[in-house]
Amino acid sequence: MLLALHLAVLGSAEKFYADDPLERIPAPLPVKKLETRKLNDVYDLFENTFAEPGDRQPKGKKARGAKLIPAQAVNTLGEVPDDPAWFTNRIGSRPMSIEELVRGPGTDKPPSMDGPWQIVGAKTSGVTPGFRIKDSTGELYLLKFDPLTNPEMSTASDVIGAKFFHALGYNAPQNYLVHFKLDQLAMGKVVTVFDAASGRDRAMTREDLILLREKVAQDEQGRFRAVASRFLSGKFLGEFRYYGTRADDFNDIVDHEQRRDLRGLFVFSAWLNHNDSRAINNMDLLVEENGVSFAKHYLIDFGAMFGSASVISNTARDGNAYFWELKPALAQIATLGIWSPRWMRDSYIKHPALGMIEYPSFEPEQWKPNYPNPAFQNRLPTDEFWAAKRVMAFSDEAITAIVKEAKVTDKYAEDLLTDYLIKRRDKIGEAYFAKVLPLDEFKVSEGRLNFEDLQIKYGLVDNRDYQVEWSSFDNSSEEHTPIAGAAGPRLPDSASSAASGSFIAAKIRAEDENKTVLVYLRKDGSDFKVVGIERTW
Amino acid sequence: MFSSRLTPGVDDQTDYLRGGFFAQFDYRDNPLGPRSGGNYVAEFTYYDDRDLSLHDFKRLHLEAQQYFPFLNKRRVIALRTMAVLSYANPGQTVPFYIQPVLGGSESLRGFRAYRFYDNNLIMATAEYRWEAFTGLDMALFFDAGKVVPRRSQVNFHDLEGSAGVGFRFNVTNSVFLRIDVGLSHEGPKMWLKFENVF
Repeated sequence: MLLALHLAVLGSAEKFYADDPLERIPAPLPVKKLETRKLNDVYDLFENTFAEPGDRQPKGKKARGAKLIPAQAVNTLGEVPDDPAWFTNRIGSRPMSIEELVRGPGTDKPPSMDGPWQIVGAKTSGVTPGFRIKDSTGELYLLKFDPLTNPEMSTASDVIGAKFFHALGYNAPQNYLVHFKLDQLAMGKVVTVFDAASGRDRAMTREDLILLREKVAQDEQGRFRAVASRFLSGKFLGEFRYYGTRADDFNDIVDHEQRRDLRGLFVFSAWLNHNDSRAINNMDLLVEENGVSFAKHYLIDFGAMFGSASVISNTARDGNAYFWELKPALAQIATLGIWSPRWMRDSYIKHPALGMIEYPSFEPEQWKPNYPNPAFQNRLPTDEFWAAKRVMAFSDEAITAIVKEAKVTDKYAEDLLTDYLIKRRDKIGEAYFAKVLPLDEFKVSEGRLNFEDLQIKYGLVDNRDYQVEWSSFDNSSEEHTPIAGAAGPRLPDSASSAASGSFIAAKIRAEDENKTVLVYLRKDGSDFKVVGIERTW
Repeated sequence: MFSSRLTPGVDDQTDYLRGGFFAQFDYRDNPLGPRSGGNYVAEFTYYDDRDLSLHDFKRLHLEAQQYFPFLNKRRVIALRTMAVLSYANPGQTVPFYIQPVLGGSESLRGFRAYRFYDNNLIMATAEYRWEAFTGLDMALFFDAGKVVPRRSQVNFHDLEGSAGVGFRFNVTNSVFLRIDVGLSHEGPKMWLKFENVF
């Protein structure tokens, strides 16, 4: 009986449903209880470095004739629908004002300066200290500082990193740049710190606080500069990994390594040099929104972007090589270091407020996070195209405005970072638009299928000729029937007499036969609506 | 086997009052795993024998370290020279247990620890260090040096030498484990230390 039901469902399958293309994911099912599953960062490092977790794209001998795993969590246009748990379409999907970009995840709740900030948790060991504080309104924040060697570096990265990733569509915390004097901090009642001398926790004292002066730079007015990252509300569930799903979350149904928003995150991370984009810098929270409780997935901790490695400046390796790579390691061991990889020979720019940045030699395809990431490795040219569109949607003005929010004292450094992001953005567009036929913004008007060629739009190619082949499309059998005599962007003559609900498709190609875009149109009343886009490369 | 002439202080140990001063110019980028910069130290110490009045002496310790990086600090030529000169008061000797030594994990790594000891020391080390991957730097090293009873014998003649290869494991460029294998005419020696050599 089950088989019969299954076959019946298969028999009624259609390529496009009436509600395609989905613009948003249906509201999540309410989840009452999820377990906290803390990820061990060392385990994550070793698992991803020496194993291949997740369902991977075929490669090597297996790749011959094998079917690639397309991205999931996408609609029929290849876009990621709005999903409060994961992703909200912002830049590249709709216009975003400079004000909205600068506001990022929010600017309405900075820590109040009306009263002292009570320390409720502390980390005083390590290169840079950190505190959990409660302001006079009861809001909780995490205070993070710059290393002494690089004042402004990691705080700048953390503040504007959150704004960039929010604009790109991800859930990110509100990070505020704050300046304060030592007397702004008040000791909490029971705060423990790790005592490196004894190897044990002990009660924090006022002296520990005063030691802040030795570990954190102060400005001419004796103020500390820090990032106050507002605590996100909800129960902490751990970190989401870049493969698989949470077994106890029935809203989490798409393997993370197949999610377009996580595959495309590679491109965003390459642009912003977020080489610390690993699972340990993610966070899941059990939240309640619109009366429904569900697991919400956040990207957090953006202190190690651009030229920053958070507690130190980047080295040449950051963004260029994994922690461990067998072949380069063997080559360097065997040749006594006479052989060196390209990135060692490149030139980099150093500035205390920026760390070490690279753009003359930046090659998006060569960029690497600190260690392999299953979603990044599973990406396909269509994932890259989806992401590159969003990167290219940042105008020079938008980048300039966001970078200003870093409030870097040295104008030269601010200009340098702006220029760095603009040039790297352009390289992203150049690299990934070339891998597909980069047509976008499909619309039907006045009997024509109109579109935009993003390589032309951004000045990457001057002009291009297109060939368009039309076919009628059977939504049930998924068969195409060529429409004789129909060519060019104008809709076939027969389309006007077609029944409402019928489909036609246009296959577009340019100079490269392998790169095509297949656009599906459905007749709704007398109008045609773009309902599907498929690309080959 | 050991006489007080060859090993002063072997019969009786004494208590010292020690004082001195030093000057240091340290501009290494990271003292726990330097890849650039230098470290220059001059230290003068007076040892006052409080019990036996047999071992009063002064000591001058000079050390220079310089690091020459290339390929974005993924390759480093590290050089170190050191001289330790003792100035014993008339009729006094430097006890063997405070005499400068050569041999071991820090110097002349092809010889056993404390292999050479005397009143004065001169040594030099050159290392070529290269990054194999994050967390591991390798090194080829060459050590040379000697100890001599009199300062007038301090020169570059008849130096003992050793060479070898090293593996330096690090976290955020700070060495936490070092394995050095040195070779000399007395055979190979392997050292495992939880600190950098210099």
